[in-house]
This record gives sequence, C-alpha cells and structure tokens, in this order.
Amino acid sequence: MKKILVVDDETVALLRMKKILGSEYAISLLKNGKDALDYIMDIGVPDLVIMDIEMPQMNGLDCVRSLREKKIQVPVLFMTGIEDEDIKNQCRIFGNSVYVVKPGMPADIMEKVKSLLLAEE
Amino acid sequence: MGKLFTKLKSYIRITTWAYVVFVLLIIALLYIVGTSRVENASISVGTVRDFNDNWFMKYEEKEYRVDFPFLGSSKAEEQVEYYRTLEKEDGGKTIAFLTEDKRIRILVEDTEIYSFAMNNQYKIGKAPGDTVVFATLPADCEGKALRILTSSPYDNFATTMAAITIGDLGSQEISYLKMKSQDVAIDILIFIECLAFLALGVVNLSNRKNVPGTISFGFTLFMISVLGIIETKIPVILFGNPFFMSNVAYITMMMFPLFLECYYFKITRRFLIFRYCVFACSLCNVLLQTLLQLLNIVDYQQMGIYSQMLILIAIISGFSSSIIEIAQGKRMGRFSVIFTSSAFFLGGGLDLIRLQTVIIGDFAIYTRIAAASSGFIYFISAMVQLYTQEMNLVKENLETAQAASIAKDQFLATMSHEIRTPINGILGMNEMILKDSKEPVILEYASDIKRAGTSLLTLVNEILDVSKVRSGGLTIEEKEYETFLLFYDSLHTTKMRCVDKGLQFITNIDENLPNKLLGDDQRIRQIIVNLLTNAIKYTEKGSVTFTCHSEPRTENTVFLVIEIQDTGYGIEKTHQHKIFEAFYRMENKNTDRIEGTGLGLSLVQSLVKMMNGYIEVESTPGEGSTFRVFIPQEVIDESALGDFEARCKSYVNEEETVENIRFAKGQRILVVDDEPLNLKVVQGYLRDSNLELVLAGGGKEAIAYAKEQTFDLIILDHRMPEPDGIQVFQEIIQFLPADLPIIMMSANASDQAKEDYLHMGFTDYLSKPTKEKELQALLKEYLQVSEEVVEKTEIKEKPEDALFIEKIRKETTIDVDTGLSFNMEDASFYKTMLLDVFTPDRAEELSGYFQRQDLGNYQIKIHSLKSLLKTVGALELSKEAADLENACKNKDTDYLDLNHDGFVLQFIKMCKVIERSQA
Repeated sequence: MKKILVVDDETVALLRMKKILGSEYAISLLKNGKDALDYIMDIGVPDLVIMDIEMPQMNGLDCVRSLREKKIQVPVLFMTGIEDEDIKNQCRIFGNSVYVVKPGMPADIMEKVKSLLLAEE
Repeated sequence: MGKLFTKLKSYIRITTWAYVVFVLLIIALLYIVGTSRVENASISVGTVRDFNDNWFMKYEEKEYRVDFPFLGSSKAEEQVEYYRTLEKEDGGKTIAFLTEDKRIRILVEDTEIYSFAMNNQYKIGKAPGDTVVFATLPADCEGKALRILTSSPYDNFATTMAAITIGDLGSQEISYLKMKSQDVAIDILIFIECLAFLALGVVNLSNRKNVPGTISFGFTLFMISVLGIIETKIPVILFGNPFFMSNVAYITMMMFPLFLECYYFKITRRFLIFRYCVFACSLCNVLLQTLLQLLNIVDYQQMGIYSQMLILIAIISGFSSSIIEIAQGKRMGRFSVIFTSSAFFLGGGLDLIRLQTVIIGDFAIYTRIAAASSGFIYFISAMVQLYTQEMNLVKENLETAQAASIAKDQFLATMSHEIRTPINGILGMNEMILKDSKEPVILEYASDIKRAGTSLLTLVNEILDVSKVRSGGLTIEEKEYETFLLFYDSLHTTKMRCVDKGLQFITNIDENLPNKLLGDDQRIRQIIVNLLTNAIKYTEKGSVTFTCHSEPRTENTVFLVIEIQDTGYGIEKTHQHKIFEAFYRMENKNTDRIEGTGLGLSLVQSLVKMMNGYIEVESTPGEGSTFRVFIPQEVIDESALGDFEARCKSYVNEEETVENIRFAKGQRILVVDDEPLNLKVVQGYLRDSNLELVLAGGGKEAIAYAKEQTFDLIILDHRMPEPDGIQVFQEIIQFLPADLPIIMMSANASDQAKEDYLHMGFTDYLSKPTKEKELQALLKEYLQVSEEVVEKTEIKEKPEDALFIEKIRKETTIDVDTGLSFNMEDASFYKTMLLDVFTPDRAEELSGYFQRQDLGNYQIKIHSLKSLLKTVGALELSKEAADLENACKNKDTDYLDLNHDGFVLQFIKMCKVIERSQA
C-alpha cells in the first residue's frame, strides 16, 4: 500500500483526509510542518505528501521548500485557502506538485492523488 | 367503679369547663354594663362631715335616741324608721352610708328621695344585697324631717346601721373612692397579675413550654379581682344597679372552688380521686345554688357558706398534696403552691373572722392581700421554673454535644490507629518488594502501590489533622531545620506526580534563602505538598511552578514566601474564599472527575494561621491559579541556601544508596509488636544484618522470652493489648541488666512523647512507620558493627555508562533520576534498559498494527510500551502512550489517527539520540 503523509494544523481536516483516502492508502497524520520534516528525515520519505499551506508555526510552502533543498522530490498536494497566482507559481517551481482549494471535493482530491502517484512511476 | 371514673374524667374536661364558665361570666358582666346608667359624677371640692348624732329610731311603736353606727336587734320583715331634723346648711347636700341586706327608703317629710330594693326589680332571690347609699337632700329642707325607713328579710339587719356622712355629692363620691382606693389598687394589681398569667399561659402553650397552672391561676385571680371590685361597691357609683352586683359577688364565690380545683389539678396529681369528687361537688354546688336562687327558694347569700366550705376543702387538699410532694423531692413549683394555698387560707380565714366582728364594712381585705401577694410569688416562681427548664435544656444539649464531641474524638483516634496500622504494613511490605525485586515491571507496580498507599496514608492523616485542628488538639512544634531538606522532601515526590501527568515542573528557589530556620518543618512540608498536589490535580496541561524566597521581617525573623502557580482551570472570584472551607469542592464540568476530600485547603489555612502567617490566592478561570503563603520564621543560619538544583543532584547521589550494615555475629535482638505485618517489615530490613531476630506478638510472650533468653537489644511497640509496651518495660527492667538498650517504638511522634519515654527509662525511641535508615542508624549506635569490610552492594559503575546517562539527561526530556530510581540506581543496568526499550523495531511493530487497524494488538503493545517508557524515565512519552492506550479502550479511532504518528515520531527521535549518545 502506498504511504501518504497528511500535514494540517486542523484536526478535523486531518481526519477528513484519512476518511477520504484511508481505504486505499496507508495514511499518516501530523499536525505541523516541523514534525513533518522530522518524520521524513527520521522515519522515511512517504509516497506522497498532502500539505496544508496556512499553518501557524511553519508555513506549508516553507516546509516543502526545505524538502526540495534537501533534494527530496516527493510529490506534494497543497491544500490552499485561496487560488491565486502565487500558489500556481510555487507549484511550478517545486515541481511534482499540484493544489486543491480547501476544502476540496473528495472525488477531486482522489483524482489528483492518483495522478500524482501515477506520474511518479 | 373504674369505668365510671374514666367516663367521668372524659366528661369533666376540667380546663374546658373553666373556660366555658369564664366566658359566661364575661357575657354576664357585659349585660350588666349594657343595661346600667352612668351617673354624672360631679367632682367638686368640699367638706364631708359626720352625720351620726341627733337621730331617733321608731321601732315597734317605741321611740329611741340613737347614734350611728348602731347595732340593735330586730325581727325579719319588721319596719324600722330613723329620723332627724335637717338644718339650713344641710340643703342640697348628699348623705352617704353603707348598708347591707335591707331595703331602704329615704324621705324628706313625705317626699321620697331615695329607695333601694323596695321593688324587686332586677332581683334574683330575696336578699336586698349590699350597697353604698348616696341620697341628695333637697335645697330647701330647713326644719324638715329626714326619714330613713328600713326593713329586711333577715333578723337584725334592719337595725344594723353604719356611720352616715353628709357633704357635697362630689366630695362624698371622692371621699368614698379615697376610702376604697387601697382596695381598688390591690384589685387592679390582681387584675394585672391575672392578665400576666393568662399571657404567660398562652405564650407558653404556643412555645410548648409548660409551667402548669398558669392559665388556671390566671382565671382564679380574675375571679378574685372581680369579686374585689364589686365588693368595693364603686361600680354602684359608676353604674348603679346594686342588686346584681352583690349577687355577682356570691356567684364569684361559688365559682371560686372550680377554678381553684383546676389550678390544683395542673399542679399536682395527688389525691386525684378526691379532687374529682371536690370538683364534682363544686359543679353541683354551682348548679344547685343557681337553681335554688332562680326558683326563689334560697338566696345565694344564704348558701355562701357552702361555697366557702368547698374553697376551704380545695385549699387544704392542694396544700397537703404539695407538702407530700415536696417531701418526695418534687420541689419544682410546689413551694409556690404552698405559699398560695397558705395565703388564701390565711386571708380567707382572717376575713371570715372579721366577718363575724364587723357587720358592715370591708369584707375581703385579707383575701385581696393574699391574692395579690400569692399572684406575685407564683408569677416569680413560674418565671423561675421556665428559666430552670430552659437552663436544663441548654445543659442537656451541651452535655449531649460534649459527649458526642468526645466520642467523636475518641473514635477518630482509635480509627486512625486502626486504619494506619494496616496501611503502614502495606507500605512496609511494598518497600521489601522495591528493595528485592529486579524486574522493571514489578518495580513499576510496586511504585504505583507506594504512591497509592502513601496518598491513602496522607488522606487519613489529613482527616485526623483537620479534626485535631477543630478540637484544638493540633500544635505547632518548632525546631531547627534545614531549608534544603524541607524543599527536597516536599518537592521530590510531588515532582514525579507532576511529570507523570505530562506537566512541566518548574522550581525557582531563591539562592539567598537562609540555610536554617526555626519552625515546624513537618507542617510546612504538609502545606507545600498539599498546595502542589492541588495544583497538579487541577491542571490538565502546562506547568506547575514552585517559587520560594524570603522577605525581611524583623531583626532575626523573615517571611518565608512560598508561591505555587499552575496553568490549570483557575478559580472564579466568587469561589476564591470558599475553597478554604472544609469539604468545599468547586463544582464545574472540569472538576467533578477529580478525586479528593476537600479538606486539604482547610487544613493548609489552619496551619498557616497557627504559624501566624497568611495565605492569599490569585486566579483567572481558564488560565490558572497562584497560591501564595507567607510564614514568619526565625533565622538560625543566615548563610545562603545556594543553587537548589545543584544541591539536589549531589544529594541524590549520597542519599539514595542504602547500605546494608552487617553487624558482628552472635547478637540477638527482641522485637515486640502485636501487628504481624510490622514484625515482617523489621525482619525484612534486618535480613542481611547478621543479627539473630526474635519476634514476639504480644507483651506476655515478650516477657517470657526476656526471661528465658539473653538479648543485646530490645525493641518494644507501645500500643498493644495488655500488657502494653510500657507495662512490659516496667516488668522486664526488674530482672534485666541495667545497661541493656530498650527501645520504644511508637506512632506518637511529638517531642513531648519522646521526652516522656526517655524519662520513663527507655534508652531510645523509634518512630512508626519504621524507616529502614532510622532503624539501621539506631542499631548501629547500640550494637557492634561487623569488623569485616563492608562490601558495597552497588555494582561498580563504568564511567562511560555514567557519561552516557548524563548525555541522555542533557539532550532529552527523559527524567534520568526517575529512570535510575526504577533501576536500582545502577547506571549500567539503566543504560541497558534504555537501549532495550528504544529500538525502532518497537515503533515499526506498533505502526504495523495501526495500519492494519488491529486495535487489539495495538492496545497490548502500547500498554506494555507505556510501562517500559515509564521504567526508563521517559515520562512524557509514557503519558502519550497512556493516552493512546485509553483511546484504544474507548475505541476512539480519531484520537489514534491524530496522535499515533506524532508518538512514533517522538519515539524514533529518541531512539536516534540514544544511538548517537552511545558513540
């Protein structure tokens, strides 16, 4: 089973993701970007990361930037509050990443996850 | 016969009858008042002079010269005439005189100016009655004859004439009133007393208090005052209509025995049957007399003697029964009955005697005085009785309360001893486990037992202390103490509890605190532990901060200022003063899950007060609370305490190792305690000591052993069934060598108690529950220690292991001290444990179960992980594991989802650090 790491400061959002994707993938839930970095460094790189952008301690974009600096090219699905030019640019810069406007339709999320994982193979 | 009496009793409801009669009398009086005319009393000042001479009497065809007052003999129904010539100055004046039981007709020449009883209006019976005559002469009467015609249905009354006076009507009336004023005054007094008694009776009825007879006596006094007023004949002046008046007097006398009997019924139960008879007779008397009067057969006046007899009988019976009861010891209220009865008896008797000697005049002087005085005395007596009843009640209540209080204290003392003994046994045995076992899981269980047992013991002590404070039995014992030890002891255990709960424990102890102070450190310890426990209890997340500094107070005293701050639920302003009340616990949704009795703060406040300090609290609901305690203490050693944390570390290394002292072979000691658990504990402590232990379960056994064997030291428990420790001591010192050390073991820990024991002759003293260190120190003093080199039972530490441990201490949140304490203070062993626990495999296994949603195995795994983490001092992780375990139990998959990975992350990080530190 493919492993997906979900990072969001909002518990409800985390649980929701688990609900949507849990039947098909192995889901790990974390509450902040720092923990996510530690997790990836210490435990291992998942097959996909779902990253909330607007988080208090560490912004989701900064987190992924940090990963990319470490040459970790894991596919990322960003959860964003607003759809603007900035996010589109970032996705392009990071590579291997797309975004969904929160909360996002389950079908849409599922589709994007599938396509990201497929692209990896 | 008995049946008849019970029937009679039910019909003769004494008091009800009295009330009925009383009401009838009121109605009668009102009728009289209503049908009378009121004279215009003209009050003018003038003179009143005698008019007694120059009278002539015409009787049986003869004429005589007479002076008034005049007593002559005559026959019934014979007409008698008295006449006198009037002067010019007599015109318009009024003559006045008293008359009794004769018809009067006054004429000037042939003009009638006054008549009394001539026509039988308003009359019941044939007696004309008594009255005072006021007859006004016409203005022009010079030379005319004043004629007074009398006749009487009785012998001699027609020729009984009282003194006559002449003067203005107003002056006559005033002069008469003046003459009667004393009587009137007494009558009014009696009436007031009557009202007082009735009021007292009514009030008492509603209060359910009882001075018997108040209402009955009230009625009796009413009767007498009515009689008295009527007897003065003043109503004649005011209302006229003399006939009914004098008859009412006789009616009153007729009623008197009834009321008297009611009164006596209430007072005494003696001669009950006789009483009933007298009452029945009185009732018959009333009915009969009334009947006879109405039928004009006999007059009230003639039957008065029977009423008087009944009165006399009643008085005598009341008097004698009171005498008998006083002889029996029933004093209450009887003396006033004696007095009352005697007074009436005397008064009535004297009046009766007077009746024989004075034909016309005041007939009830002595009765009045008797009534007034006995009313007064009886009222006083009633008040005294009520007061005594009240005081007795108060005394009874007081005695009951005191007895209850003593019983409660005794109960508490016994119970506390009964409860504490097994608890100490449990803790003692538990110490054995902690000492002997090497298995971490067992040690953990034992640790839990120790915590629960200690808190149970604390609770019992707390309850006992609170009751001691309330009964004033708690004392503050001052002695010198080291501030470092105070803080170390009180913080050491509570810190663990804090960290267990996942809270941060912060200490801020001022370096400049004096080293040694004078005070009751035990109690201060109690205060600190209590406040810290509360802080921990009421805080779910965040921290508990312990701050202590000193503020200068006087030359050689300071304020010890202790501040305990938490980030807990907080206390609302309205509750902030209530929390110090005993048993008060705040109730809101957050706090009902928290255990506790609510006694802690009450005890703390009492202790602080007793030490002349004060306590304040600041709190914001939702943010936390701060408790601040100020305790004045005398400074013994000013030098600074120093860095508390640093001192703690070095202290730990010294104190935590308990040496196993070996004593020289061949020494035998006797230990006596009726509680087998306690003996076992001592046995456990001294297992490796080389000493030969003889254990005795009671005083008799101990004495027997002491006689048969030789011992090098004896330890005696105080509280045992007979013979107790003291008695055993007194017995054995008679035949034991004087230099044999005999130690007293007792739970009574006060300095005074120790002194007392030493005074009695004991060599030394050991407190219960017995601590291993204390026991060893004591034995070391009195017994010979082995010459052999004492091997340290600690395994020699490898320096690299110690270094490793220090690294862990610095770089992780693992509580190394706790970890060591769980692992026999053995650094190498502890290191092995750490390495064993913190392997990534464990995390993988756990995650595996998680992915597969295998809650069952997950729960088992996380449960054991929780214990393991605790054993190595990873308390925060252990708490997280505990929370995850709870979530499993509650099937809270959401919680697991949210927290499992975080937990695994922490665990793996820890594994990495440990791995790194090995290098």
